[in-house]
Amino acid sequence: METRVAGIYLPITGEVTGASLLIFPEPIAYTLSDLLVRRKKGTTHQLTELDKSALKEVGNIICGSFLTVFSNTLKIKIVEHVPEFSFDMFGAVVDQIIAEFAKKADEAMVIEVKFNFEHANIKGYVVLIFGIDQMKTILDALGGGIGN
Amino acid sequence: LNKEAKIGEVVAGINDDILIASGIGSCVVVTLYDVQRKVGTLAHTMLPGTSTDNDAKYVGTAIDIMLEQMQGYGVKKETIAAKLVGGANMFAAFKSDVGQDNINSAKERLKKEGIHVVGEATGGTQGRSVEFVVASGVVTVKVKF
Repeated sequence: METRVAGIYLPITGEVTGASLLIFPEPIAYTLSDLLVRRKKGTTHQLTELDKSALKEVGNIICGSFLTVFSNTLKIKIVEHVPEFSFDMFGAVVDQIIAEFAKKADEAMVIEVKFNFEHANIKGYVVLIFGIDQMKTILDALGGGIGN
Repeated sequence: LNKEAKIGEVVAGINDDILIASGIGSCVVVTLYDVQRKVGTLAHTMLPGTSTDNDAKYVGTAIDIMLEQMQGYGVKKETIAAKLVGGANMFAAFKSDVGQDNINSAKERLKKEGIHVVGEATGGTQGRSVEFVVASGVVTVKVKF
């Protein structure tokens, strides 16, 4: 819970509301910053405002890609919002997001996606969270529905 | 003995016990301590208010459980001192500030019970970790920078 991570959070609204969160462990955030702002590999040891902005844009692109697939596959309108950045302990980065959903229900739908860019040795996680009240819309779109 | 409280958990300790909660963002950690008996309890709570089913995720319910634990050790309410840690706002995009709501909820509940808050490290935009040494009553708060 104390491991430091870069978290890029994008609120989701539209036919379903939720959260998308892109998480990079600290060393990966530095490696990715080297690549994004064209520094020599291994030179970033602290994130500047430029690095944070670049990582937010990565969040925009990666979360946006997942949400576009999700939206197109399920034929659900999803609106993605401006990304926000936090570079802190893992537990601290996720607890507010969990709390926002826990206020409404004890359960949430969580979709975790791991991705790996082999050549650059970049690994990260995308977490999509939807409240339980969104579940019916999602399951209906999948052609199922609760209880079917 | 190190005892860690994850979200929605309460841990109590005596003597050499150290009570811990890690990676606190908008969550609020409440510690209660009786300096004479050297008994302490720590709760890692996530939401303001109370629950109907004894769920310590809620600040008010967690404080009720903590008071029961303290009373189990023979501690009277009048001798208990509280400290609060956490309640940060990690992402400003949230229209509601659940961290601040948690802090307010804890303070209201403690005031109602007549328990003094003698220290706090709350609010802001940074995560925290907490270590509560029961033998001394010292609560150490760590940030990652």
